Amino acid sequence: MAVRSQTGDGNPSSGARLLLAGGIGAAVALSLGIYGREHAPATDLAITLGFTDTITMKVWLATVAVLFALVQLGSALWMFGRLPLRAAPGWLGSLHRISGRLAFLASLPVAYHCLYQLAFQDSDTRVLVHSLLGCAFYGAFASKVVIVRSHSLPGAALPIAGGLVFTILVGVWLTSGLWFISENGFPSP
Amino acid sequence: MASPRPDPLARVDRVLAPLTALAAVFAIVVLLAGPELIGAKAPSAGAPPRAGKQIFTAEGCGGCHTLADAGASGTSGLDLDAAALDAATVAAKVESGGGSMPSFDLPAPELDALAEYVAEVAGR
Repeated sequence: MAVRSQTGDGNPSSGARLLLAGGIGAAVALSLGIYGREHAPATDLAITLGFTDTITMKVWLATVAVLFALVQLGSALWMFGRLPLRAAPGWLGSLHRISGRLAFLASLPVAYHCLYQLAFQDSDTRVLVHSLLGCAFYGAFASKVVIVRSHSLPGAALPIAGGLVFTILVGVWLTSGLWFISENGFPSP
Repeated sequence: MASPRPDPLARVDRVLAPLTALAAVFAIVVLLAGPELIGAKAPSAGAPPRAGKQIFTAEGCGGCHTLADAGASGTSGLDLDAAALDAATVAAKVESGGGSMPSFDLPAPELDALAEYVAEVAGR
């Protein structure tokens, strides 16, 4: 992949912008991990948002987030001409952005409860992987936001960032929502 | 030439964009300032050990477990009204987690108090 070194208009090179995006993402992920590690998790935090209980709320919202992420993936593939469909309609960009925002919003109550009530845990491999991916998700998300708003970056930067965010979110869900569903069945709301 | 059709989703996106940013900022503020902002109580440092029932309620155990004595009706965890458990089993489960239950980092006196309480009232 060719990386342009200097734009010539005084702006940072695309390489520096990519580095900045990665740095911001790493800082976000690391901050969440340190917060989760250092924060005393014991509290009476029970968030249900109208669901039967907290864990039900988390399973549902995490699953909803993954469904919106699938819309993100499908719309991105369509926009990039990777689907055997006619040219992407004008509204597809809006749908892509809306689905991403909704996935992020759905994830927030889940992540908040995880971080504040349970904190960073490493009691077994699944829990450790989930903790790491949970922190990495918001880091990757922050990087993607920076990349979306940066111009003159290599063309592959955005799909790679988007793919990374999607993959990590699915990983978070596999190690929590899907695992819970496979152990207990899908909880009724 | 016909003008392009307006994109109704773009309007939704324009409304959603600032809300998303606000929600992210709010989540960070609540993480740092504590859950009091959303109506929950944070633990107070140096507070005396809590009683078992109080811990059960405060730690949100009722979110997943049913336990009539504590007024809890969670359904995704073990039904404690239908399970006879000894204190050591409860303490080990709370401390280490396992299955679908996360671990809880409680001070030893509170872990003991919670375990004894649950062992006493569970399975009634």
